[in-house]
Amino acid sequence: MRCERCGKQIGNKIFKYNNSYLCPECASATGVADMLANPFAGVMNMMDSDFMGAIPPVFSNLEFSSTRAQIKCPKCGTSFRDFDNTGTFGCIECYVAFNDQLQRYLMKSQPNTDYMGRKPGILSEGNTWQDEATEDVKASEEVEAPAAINEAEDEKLTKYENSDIGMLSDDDLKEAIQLAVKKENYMLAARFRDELKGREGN
Amino acid sequence: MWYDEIGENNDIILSSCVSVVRNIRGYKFPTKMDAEEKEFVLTSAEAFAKENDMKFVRLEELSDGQRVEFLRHKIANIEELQNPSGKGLVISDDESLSIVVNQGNHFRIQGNCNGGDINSIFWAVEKLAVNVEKKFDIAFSERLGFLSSNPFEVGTGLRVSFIISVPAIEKGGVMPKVLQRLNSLDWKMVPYIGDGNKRTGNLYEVYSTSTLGVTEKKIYERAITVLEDIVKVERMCREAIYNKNKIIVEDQYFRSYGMLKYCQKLELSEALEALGWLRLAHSMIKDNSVDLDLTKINKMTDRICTEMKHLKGNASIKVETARAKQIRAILEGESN
Ligand SMILES: [Zn+2]
Ligand SMILES: [Zn+2]
Repeated sequence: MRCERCGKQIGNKIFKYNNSYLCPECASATGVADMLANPFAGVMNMMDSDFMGAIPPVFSNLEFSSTRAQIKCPKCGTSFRDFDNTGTFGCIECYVAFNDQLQRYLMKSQPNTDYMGRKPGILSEGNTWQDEATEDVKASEEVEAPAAINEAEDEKLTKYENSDIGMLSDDDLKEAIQLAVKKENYMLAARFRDELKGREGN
Repeated sequence: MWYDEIGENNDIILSSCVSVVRNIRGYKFPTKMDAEEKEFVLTSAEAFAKENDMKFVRLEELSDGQRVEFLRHKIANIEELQNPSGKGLVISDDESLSIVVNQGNHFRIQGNCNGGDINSIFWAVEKLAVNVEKKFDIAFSERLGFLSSNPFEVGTGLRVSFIISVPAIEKGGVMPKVLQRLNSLDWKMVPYIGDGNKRTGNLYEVYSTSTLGVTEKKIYERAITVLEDIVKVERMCREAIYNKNKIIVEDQYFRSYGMLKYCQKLELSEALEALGWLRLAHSMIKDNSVDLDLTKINKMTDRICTEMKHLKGNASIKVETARAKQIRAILEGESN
């Protein structure tokens, strides 16, 4: 059992809240331990399920099997088990050695797994970034900022659209359907729905 | 020094941090490096510091006083200071820019400021990162971007975070809305401190999580959006709470002040609760009998947080007495 926040192996004390498992350190750092000790106390109660959404999924989606545990990075000797315990790689070759697991994990933890940042040593958009960025943001000052939410949803849907549909969890599919319907992309919604139906058939 | 200044929206955003991780190609990550390899990275960092008019220190050589200072100013964290072997720090004159060497990654380039003025540090950090990339052969993949020891950061390797104090959002019950908003921007929120069995009291850290699928510019824009939303909602809540419950808020405000000023022992949770009330009502209640400004409120909050990060056994009477003493001294106007 691994902690879903820090990715470390959990010993004999496990904190479970809203289907998330945390180690004692993380449970205490995030207030979950307090909350479990006194479910009616203060603010955590109010945040309820939203609160666990705030805890970053780290390695909860990496499956652990004994064959995988034996994969080793040829350069630094890090095994998948080590990676599983510490949540860190030993060298850049590890990215190659654990590529499959990495891809699955990135799909879950990032809005989109394509690299879109700059190249080394080049401040690509230069100082013009500064002025542009400030103005862009000023334009969407509203607290509710529907534009920004819209954009985030669009991004999310694109991510689902571009991902390997077989890799998505049922919950992902359900969310993808909702998003696609909301964006009136019914073709896409149908594709996700069919996949979900197909799984129920099994 | 950056930490002596009052920053933008400093009544809500306590501090901002921008960090970028980078590694040198051909070297294992620090956990797998031997002493000689670490020494190479340290020496290179020292040379880099010289070329960029920055200071260089080895963490092992820091005095206890320097350690506490670096910890207080969030330049180094407790893990780095407790295991200083083979680690270093490159630091600018005003300490707003620094590079932590050989902790997790070869370089963690970071910028800190009080309040929410990330415009001032974001681009400075990016520029410093570019300089690092020019000097070293940096581990980079076309497909994944900058490679880091923690695959959670692969891509831009760039993170923005804010320490915030939002008593009114909490008391006003709008936290779920704020969390929803953060989620939609791929930002997360975690309580900043806690003392094991008590609630954490209105202090949170919010941070960006996406390092793939976003440009640096996008990360920056989202950070600004997060910041403006939090400031706006918290301000609205503060006013609404005060206007609807004037007597209650004023009562809590003066009680909190009195308690902090005269207490002989102070529990963490009651300190945070009291500071929350002071922060919430401070700009709205004008009363000359209370000698209080934002600097003092921030200083007390900061002192309590720093102390939390390196004191063990916070419930002991000794800690509570020491805490009360420090807080009283700040309210009396200690020089430093
Ligand atoms: Zn953990
Ligand atoms: Zn490796």
